[in-house]
Amino acid sequence: MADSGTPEPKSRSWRRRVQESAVYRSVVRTPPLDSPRGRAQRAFGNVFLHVYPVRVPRALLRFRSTWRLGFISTVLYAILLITGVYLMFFYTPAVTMAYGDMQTLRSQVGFGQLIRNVHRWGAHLMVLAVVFHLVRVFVDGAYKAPRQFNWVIGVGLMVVTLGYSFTGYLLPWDQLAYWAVTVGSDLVQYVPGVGGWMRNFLLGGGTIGQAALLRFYVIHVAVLTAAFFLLMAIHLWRLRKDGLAVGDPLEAHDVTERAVEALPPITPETVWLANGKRVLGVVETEDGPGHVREPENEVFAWPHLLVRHQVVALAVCALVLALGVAFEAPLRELANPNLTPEPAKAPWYFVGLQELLAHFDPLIAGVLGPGVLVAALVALPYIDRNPSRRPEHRRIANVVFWTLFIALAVLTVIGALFRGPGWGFVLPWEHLYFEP
Amino acid sequence: MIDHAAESGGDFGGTVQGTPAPCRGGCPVGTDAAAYVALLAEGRVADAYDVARQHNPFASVCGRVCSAPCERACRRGVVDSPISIRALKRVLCDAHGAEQGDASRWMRAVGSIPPASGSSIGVIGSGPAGLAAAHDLRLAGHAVTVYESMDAAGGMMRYGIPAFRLVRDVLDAEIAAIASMGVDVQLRCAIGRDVSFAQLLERHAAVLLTVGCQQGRQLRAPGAELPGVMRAVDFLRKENVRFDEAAGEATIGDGAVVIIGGGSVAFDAARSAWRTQSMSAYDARTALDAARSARRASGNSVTLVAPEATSKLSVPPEELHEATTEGVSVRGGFGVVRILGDACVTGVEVAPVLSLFDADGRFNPQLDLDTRTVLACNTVVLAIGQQSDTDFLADTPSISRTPWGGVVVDKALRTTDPRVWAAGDVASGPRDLIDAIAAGQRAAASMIASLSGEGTVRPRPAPAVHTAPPMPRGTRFWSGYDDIRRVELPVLQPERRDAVAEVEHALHNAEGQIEAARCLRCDEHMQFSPRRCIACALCVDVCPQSSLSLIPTTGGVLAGGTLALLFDDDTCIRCGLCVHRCPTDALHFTLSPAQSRPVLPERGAIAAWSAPLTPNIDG
Repeated sequence: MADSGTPEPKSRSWRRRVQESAVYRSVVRTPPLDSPRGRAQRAFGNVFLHVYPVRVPRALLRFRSTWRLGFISTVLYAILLITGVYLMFFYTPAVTMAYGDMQTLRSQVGFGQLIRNVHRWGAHLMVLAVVFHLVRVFVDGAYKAPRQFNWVIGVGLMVVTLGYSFTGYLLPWDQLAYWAVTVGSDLVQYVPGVGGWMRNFLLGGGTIGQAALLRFYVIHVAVLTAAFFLLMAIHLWRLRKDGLAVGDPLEAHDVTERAVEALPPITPETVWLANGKRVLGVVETEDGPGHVREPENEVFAWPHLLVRHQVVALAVCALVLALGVAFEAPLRELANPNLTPEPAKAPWYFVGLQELLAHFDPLIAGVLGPGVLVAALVALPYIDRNPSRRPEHRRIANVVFWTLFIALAVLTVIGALFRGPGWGFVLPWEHLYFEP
Repeated sequence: MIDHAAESGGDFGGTVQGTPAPCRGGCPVGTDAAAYVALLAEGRVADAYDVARQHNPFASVCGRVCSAPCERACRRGVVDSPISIRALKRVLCDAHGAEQGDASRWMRAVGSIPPASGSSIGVIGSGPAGLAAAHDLRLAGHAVTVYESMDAAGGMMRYGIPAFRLVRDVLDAEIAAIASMGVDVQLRCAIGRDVSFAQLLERHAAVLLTVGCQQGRQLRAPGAELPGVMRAVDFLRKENVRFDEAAGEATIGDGAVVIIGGGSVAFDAARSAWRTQSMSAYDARTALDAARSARRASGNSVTLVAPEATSKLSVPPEELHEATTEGVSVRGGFGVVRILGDACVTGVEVAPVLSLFDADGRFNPQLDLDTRTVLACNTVVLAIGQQSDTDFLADTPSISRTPWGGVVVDKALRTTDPRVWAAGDVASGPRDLIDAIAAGQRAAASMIASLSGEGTVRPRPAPAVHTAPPMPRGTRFWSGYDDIRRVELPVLQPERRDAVAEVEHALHNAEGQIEAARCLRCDEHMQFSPRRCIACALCVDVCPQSSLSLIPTTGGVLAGGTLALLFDDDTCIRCGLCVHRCPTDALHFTLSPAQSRPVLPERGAIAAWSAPLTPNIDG
């Protein structure tokens, strides 16, 4: 047929040509489709979007479903990574140079002080975000089956976060850094038998000196980073595999609810169901629930969740930038082992333990206390086998958790704000002995 | 690689086996639209034509005027709008149909014509039902004589459907092709006038009545008998004859015309009336702007009054659009109170419709008589339904008739006389063209079975039929099939329309191919192996249409248990993402096997299903 020429578009844009080229297709494996399939395919075929499931429960779109604490922690980590790399350009982990580098950073490096401020406040915020993330997960009972092990990984990530913060504390090599780390590392020697050896191993000698600075530096920038990425990969991978607890349809089928199911059980012989779907088959799951997924209550992660995450990420960036502009990170005099400041306080997240030392034997306060606490957190999902996530079914767990949490918080507040020279009681409005 | 085909018996299951694609299920003659659309998408136009032709001797006619129940059933309509299946069929027919002048090409899909060694069968009426039956009867080896009272064969296809909708060359070609099979068509032979029904029964072993519904219904309102009131079927018949022969007096003169009715006949009548008034009788081909201006000056107008609201008319939206484009004003939601006039019609009094159906669900419009309006006019055309004229059966008491003139038939379309069958509108009441073709085929199958005395249908010669190509899997991810909008059918510019120029144009081959690529491939059925499934729900996650769910079979599943994978055939777009993602190969699609027509009794194997299955994932 002569007249049935191909109705080719008049002029194919260069963009379209690029998109149709073999090279482009080998890189980007999905066509730019404006259809549900296009969106699903894009999330499915893009490694960056692949961190997300294609669809997420609609309930997750509410900010208060998770308070985005895990995501905020991740964003803070990214900020710390970027600012940390910048700081590494100007920092030498040597006792003779470290403090001078800090001063150079302050006075001569472009945005040096701002970057250092952002790194400092971001680190404190990340400790807070991680702790609140843990609290949120506990409150929602999201550590229960099948997510028990991911909770353990999460506790590991929290320990890594504290480790980051603690090792980073020493690096400015000023009085604050020196004595806070001295107090913190002194706790280690109370471990029965191996305490002294452990402290030596950590510090590379009996006292905090060049060896300790280098070790802390290497642990801070390399060892913990490797550990963090490994644990984070597992944490996210399991999150993707197990699905989110928020909006989990299992909740609707909670066994403890014992709701009388009016409908007969579904069998392969049940062909059509009320919602227009038919039964393709019935799958036996031997252990664990498998995945219950009801897409009727789900939305596409891209763009719905992604947009929300972008907003949160921008807000976090704005917050740390504002803090960095408004508040200077402290830098005291050069570290002096011969001049002990009064009081010498541990970093604020360990100051609760320091306060405990004032009341109990060091073995109990410095070793058993934190040891049991971490062990209890790790063991929590295996001790608490109550499958229900509803608060009214978990009174005991809640009472225990909140008692410990509030106790630790009170000790931290007293240690940080109400203690002065000689660890004596001082009202913070009279004199505040606290530097973050 | 997993041989899914070998496993489909045991490991895989859960399909509604053998269910045809909705388009095929929607087609009264069971045309495998899914297959020919898929073939066209691959550019296999000739093969696609064979599939379209196989179940329908009037493929080319249907490509232009079918009511396309396939499109109403098309699942693509759930996503955006259905595939233009009818227009695609026209693409195939324009390339290979009978109108191309090669009757043997037309025959290819149904095989060779056997010698007329069987019984002699008489068919009364050469409409779609009669000719479709003649086609099938002749293929089964019977001698067939068709009796037609008019000057040409085709029935309502010729005397009901206007030429601007169905080009006569196409109709003539397909009728000629049927005649070339050895079907004897006796024109100008009216039963009861030229030959009696009793004589027919002597001549033939069996007789098939397919006389249709040729009589317009009368309006039950005052003034319906006035001069100037005519019925749409009569009006269309006269106009179609006049335009076909390019001779004769115009049926309606200048002035305002009111068409009463909201169906396709009403629209045909309205658009024909517009053409009659716009063009001089002997110069049907010169209708240009001049004619339009003249028409406005002379006070001509065509108004269509329908009881249904304009948005709820049964005709497709394109039809309404074209009619209004041409200048027909459509007033939906009005019923006729009475027709005004003394010696002849001067107007129609109408009132808004309050409700269309009564408490029993019957069509019985209630009018709001307080707000009546008068539409001044000098011609009224009634298109409010048709009925059959079977007075020639008055002397044949063995055949029971219905009060509306139709013939009583049983399930096998046999009348109360064991040697007489009836099909089409005369048996079913007014229906669509494709229903008439299907009825003719059913009657033919029933007659063949009865005449052979076997109770089964003699198998046809194995036709050259093609199955749909399997869904292209990997490449489907790159194709934008779900993102293509429905093609808009090209139409003749309104100012260039005349009495017989075809309004709707054909798609180009390439356009047709793009439109065909929109097909979701509902002939591909989801297969699932519960044994392989590990309940990871990744398929549910990736499904862009929310077509899958994984739910517990009972209330509690925390301690292990069973889960049911649910699937919604209606929303699935067969993108194959679930198949691609499944880590254990528990899901895949298989083509539904090619089958005989669902409407017929067993018709013999049409073709062995041998479509090769390509496994979804390599390795």
